[in-house]
Amino acid sequence: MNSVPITLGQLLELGLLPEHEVLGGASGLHRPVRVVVGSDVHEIPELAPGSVAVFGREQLVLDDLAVDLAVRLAGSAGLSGIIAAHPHRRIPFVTTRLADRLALPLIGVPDIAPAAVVTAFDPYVRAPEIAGLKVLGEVARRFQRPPADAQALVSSLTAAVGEPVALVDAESRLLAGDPAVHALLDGAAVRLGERHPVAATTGTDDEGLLLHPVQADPSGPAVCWIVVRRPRFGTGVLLEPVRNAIAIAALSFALHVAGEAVRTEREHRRRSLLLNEILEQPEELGSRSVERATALGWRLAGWHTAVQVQVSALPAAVRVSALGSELEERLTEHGMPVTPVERAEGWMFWTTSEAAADPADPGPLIGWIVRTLAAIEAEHPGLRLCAGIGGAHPGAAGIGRSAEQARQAALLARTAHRPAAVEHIDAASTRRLLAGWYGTAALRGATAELLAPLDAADPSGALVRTLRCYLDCQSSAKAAGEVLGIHRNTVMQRMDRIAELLPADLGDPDDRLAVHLATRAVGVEWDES
Amino acid sequence: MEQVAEECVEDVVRGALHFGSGGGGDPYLGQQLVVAAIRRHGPIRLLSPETLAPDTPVLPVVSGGTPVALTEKVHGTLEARTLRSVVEARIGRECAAVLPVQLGSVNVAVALAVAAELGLPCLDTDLMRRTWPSIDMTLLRLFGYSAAPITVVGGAGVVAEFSRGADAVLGGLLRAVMPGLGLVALISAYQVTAGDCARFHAGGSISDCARIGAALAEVAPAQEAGFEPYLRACGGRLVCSGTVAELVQRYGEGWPRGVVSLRTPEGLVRLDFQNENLIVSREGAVLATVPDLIGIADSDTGALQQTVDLVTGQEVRVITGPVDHRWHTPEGLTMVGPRAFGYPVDAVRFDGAVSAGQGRSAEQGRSAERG
Amino acid sequence: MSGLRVGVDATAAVALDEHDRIRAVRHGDTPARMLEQLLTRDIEAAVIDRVVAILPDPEPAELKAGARVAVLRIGAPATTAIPPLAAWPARELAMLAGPVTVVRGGHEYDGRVSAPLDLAAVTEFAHGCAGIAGAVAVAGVHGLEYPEHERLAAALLAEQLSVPVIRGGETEALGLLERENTAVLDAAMTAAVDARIGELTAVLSARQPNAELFVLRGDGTVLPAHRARRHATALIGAARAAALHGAVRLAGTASAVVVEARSDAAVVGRVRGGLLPGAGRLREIAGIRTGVRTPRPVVVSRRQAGFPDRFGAALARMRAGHDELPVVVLGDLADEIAGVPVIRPPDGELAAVLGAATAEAAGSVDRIFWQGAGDRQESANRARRLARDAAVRAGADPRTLRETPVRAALTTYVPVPAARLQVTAIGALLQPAPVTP
Repeated sequence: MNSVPITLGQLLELGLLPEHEVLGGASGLHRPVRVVVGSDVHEIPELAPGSVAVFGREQLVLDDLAVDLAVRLAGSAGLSGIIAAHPHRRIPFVTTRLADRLALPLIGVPDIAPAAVVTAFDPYVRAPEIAGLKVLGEVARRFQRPPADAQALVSSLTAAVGEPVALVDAESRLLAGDPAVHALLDGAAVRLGERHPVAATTGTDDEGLLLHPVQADPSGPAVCWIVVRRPRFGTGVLLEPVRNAIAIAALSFALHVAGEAVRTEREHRRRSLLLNEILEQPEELGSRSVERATALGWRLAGWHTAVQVQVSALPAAVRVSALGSELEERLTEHGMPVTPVERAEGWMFWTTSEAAADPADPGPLIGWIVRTLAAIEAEHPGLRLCAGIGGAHPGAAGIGRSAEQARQAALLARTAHRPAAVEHIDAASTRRLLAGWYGTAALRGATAELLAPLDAADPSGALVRTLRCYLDCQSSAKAAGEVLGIHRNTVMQRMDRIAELLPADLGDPDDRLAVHLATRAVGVEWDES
Repeated sequence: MEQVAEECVEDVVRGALHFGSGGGGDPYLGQQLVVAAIRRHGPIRLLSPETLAPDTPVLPVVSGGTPVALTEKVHGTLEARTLRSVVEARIGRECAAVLPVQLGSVNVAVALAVAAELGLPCLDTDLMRRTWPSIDMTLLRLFGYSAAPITVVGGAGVVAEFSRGADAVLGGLLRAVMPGLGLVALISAYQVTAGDCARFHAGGSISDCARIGAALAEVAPAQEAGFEPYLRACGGRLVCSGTVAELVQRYGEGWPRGVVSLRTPEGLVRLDFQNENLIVSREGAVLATVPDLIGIADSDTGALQQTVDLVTGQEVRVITGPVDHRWHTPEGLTMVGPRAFGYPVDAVRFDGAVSAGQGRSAEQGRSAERG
Repeated sequence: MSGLRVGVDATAAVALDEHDRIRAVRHGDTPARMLEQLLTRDIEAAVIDRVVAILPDPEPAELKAGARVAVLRIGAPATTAIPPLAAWPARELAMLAGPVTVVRGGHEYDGRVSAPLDLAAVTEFAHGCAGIAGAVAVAGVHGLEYPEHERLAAALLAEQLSVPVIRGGETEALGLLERENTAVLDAAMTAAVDARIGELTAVLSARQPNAELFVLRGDGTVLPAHRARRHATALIGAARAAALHGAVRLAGTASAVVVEARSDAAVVGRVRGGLLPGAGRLREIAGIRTGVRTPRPVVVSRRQAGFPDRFGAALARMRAGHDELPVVVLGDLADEIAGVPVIRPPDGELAAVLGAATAEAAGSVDRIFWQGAGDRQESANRARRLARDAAVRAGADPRTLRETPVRAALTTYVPVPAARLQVTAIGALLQPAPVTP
């Protein structure tokens, strides 16, 4: 049982000896403690090595002459410390220095009852594990319910383990807690962005850290990390329970994070559904939908300019779901209080103005978006965002039209291969888009090949038109039917046919994009210069 | 030595400092006191108690009070005469000589000055053979004499007498009246004859002071070897040389307890003192204790120091010396051994040997060795 | 803008600007003439804030030529076992002693009046002194902490005799004899110090009437000139102390171990925070103990054999426990210091005058405090306050004061609530207020 003995330093850290003072020999606090016994100076030579001798006020006061002898006897008997009455007077220099020299901890306590000290220490000396269990129990109690927020996590854990705690994200930014602990992270060679994070212990005691990942998805990357300064005497048996305690806290916090994610997800889904309704049936919106849109601050009347933001490169450490909230925060920070709605390709939002704006001039919008994206990219190394801005269009239906343009512009931006690429849709940019894709004959040939089965099956071009319209209408059969003047079932039938004929899979975003571009390219007059 | 003339006053007072064991008061004051008395009354005759008829009463004299108070307010000439007349009135006979109660730079000087003032010789002997803090710590008492009656004469003409009672109680009472007397008083105690003094063979006290004082003047303090003349004269040894690292004093029950920490090449040395130096120890190993003498000499001047006057950074040498062998009897140790001053250690002689009167000496030796 | 500071001793006069840079130096004349030349030829229009002078230690002959000092002690019927001057060395006694008396009066350690001051006896003594005594020293029992009787008697004597009256209580020292002796020696030397200060004052009042004159004490701190004339014994040893302080200033630090190498000896001392920690010994002059505490740097003679060894031991001792302090060396002493990193500042020969020009002011307390009425902390606070006041009176700027820890020694033999407390406060000299034209 007593495999790794506890040290006097650890015992003192447990807070079992209130108001104690280490008067000398602090470097000996690492010595293992085998037993704690009440003693008399003359009994010291009989004590076993590793004993801590506790003296009552009658036996020894720390400015007694006998203390020097006690320290020296204890030193040669291999004792691990002396605990005795502190007289609240200056302890002579000879005594403290002697203790220092022999590395024999000399602990002063104002009110000492040796039996009480022995009783308090004994269980921990016999079974050091229980010292850890004490911490563990405390943590388990505190984290029965997930903490309300990061702050609550940090303060509860700090109180339970008695060491400063910090919560950092996967890119080692401080989310909550002790900045000093966060600062210690700099030196620690721990890769927080790992795909399969594991708990870690760094450094030695005093300056080391304990790190534990918080994972919303047990097999996924860490959402954030709990960082705790290593307890001063936290080695061996005492460290393991502390680690376990932190793991409990991490688990508890992961629950909180997951709950938050679900809540956000649900909210996003609601917004998404509402947006779909607006985009698909702008003229038939029910009063409830109008009400909800208004509640979200979405304006249906006026001139709308839609923006679509996409991710063009995603490092492992960044969660797409978290980016949505961050985008919203950043946009708000940059003066655009909008609610981005998650779409298949990214996020979409729009701004609205009362007056008829120049459909081709997005005003200062481009600058705002560029700055917003750049700010987010700067926070996440490796992350690359891009955005497209649609033209300004009136009314509820205008939202959809602008959104479609924004989506197209975003596609162009995505090809730009520069940070925070933002493109605005206008005639020129559409051409540029297409020019970008079909600037070479070889690519045009490939595109032609893509649509060739449709041309072959239906030389009238109806299938290609239907496909283009369907894709233009964001895969809405109803909208496409209206544009084409046919029933939506007809659209659906044609689309089934098209899916069979096409060598590409419309369910795959990349394929769909290629096909969509190919349909848009049909009939464009290319400058063959 | 037959008399104390002005030219040997410095030696006597300097030597008396040796018996002060770190206490006993300021030697400059003592020297001034005796020189002033000799200039007024001529050299002071010293007498061996054997030269007087055995039943001749003598006048034991000691200055009570605290040394710093005495440097501020030294005795008047009147106190000596008052003391003598009160004592002689009580015993109904004339005293033939002054008997120093203790050796120490102030109290040797006070006895000599009182003798000069009264026109009496001074006995070349004393009752303690060193400085002890209480009037009941004498060889006389060790042999069963009572300290009573005690006569106290204050500066303003106040006379108090404690006629009878347990000596420890009387010692306490004596200290209790001192504040009211401005912490300075001339005191006589014990009823002693020249024959009593002769019986105890405590002779040569003043001569010893003069001899040791002369040797101290020969000391070349810069090197440890330079203390040889002094060590030869007092039969002592040099324990260590070191630098004063700290001096702490605290109020306690009774006398303040002090600790001097010394840094020495051989490690830290601790000196526990109250009024005099009581115990010198190195890292828990007791090197010497009361009743032997423990002195501290300044390494620059060679002068023996009053322990309370030591300052941090001062270079000093610790010297221990033997004391009258009767203090090392079991009864002697009970009265003035370390335990009598509240230190639970056994007495160790000036040379590190076990004190003869020690009951538990073997154990002490073992535990000191073991460390 | 602050003006220049001048330091002057028997060998040189130097003027420093506010950044302690040397503006002018004069050598090889009397202090007054070097000062005159410095003021008239070297720095002309510049404003001088202060002049700090190092006076030469008094010669025995000066003591002989000094005044007959009358001594009045307040303390009878106590203290008569050692009357004033009674045990002085015969030679000095013959030189100085005027009328001597002990009158009734004085206090107890706890502030009680031992006896009312015998004013009639004081008056009678004054009559007896007229025409005989060139100066008077007055000292009372417990007069440091309870100075009323001393003050009363001194005022009475000053009224009746037109000679300097020096009180023992002006010297912060334990022991009636120590204070009394100091007062007697100071009284005897007042005229000699006056003469030296007078020469410098004459130059200043002609050339720089607004400049303050200070005199350096034996611990290297200053006294205003008008007070220095009453404390000749306190000025002894100023040259050596100034050299230690100056060496530290030259090295651009506040604390150091200083070695001053001379042809006959090497002096090893230590300066810490502007103070010269010493053994705190009382200075004896011709076998007469004074109440002046004197720093005691170790002097290692070159004439005796084994100089390198003895010097090495002295240096090691001074550095023991102060390893962090740099060692500053003045003069030529190469071989013996091998292995120790040292600073050898330029202008080492000017160390003493520089030490004077940059000196600070200090005040000390060393007396028995009766703690019967208040608590111990209260008396410690009072001791600190007294030390600060003394430093300010010596010229320190109250805003710059720093203090040593209060050292307490309890009374032995008869335990009473009284303790000897010692504390020193020190600070930079108060700059004169800027004068608006």
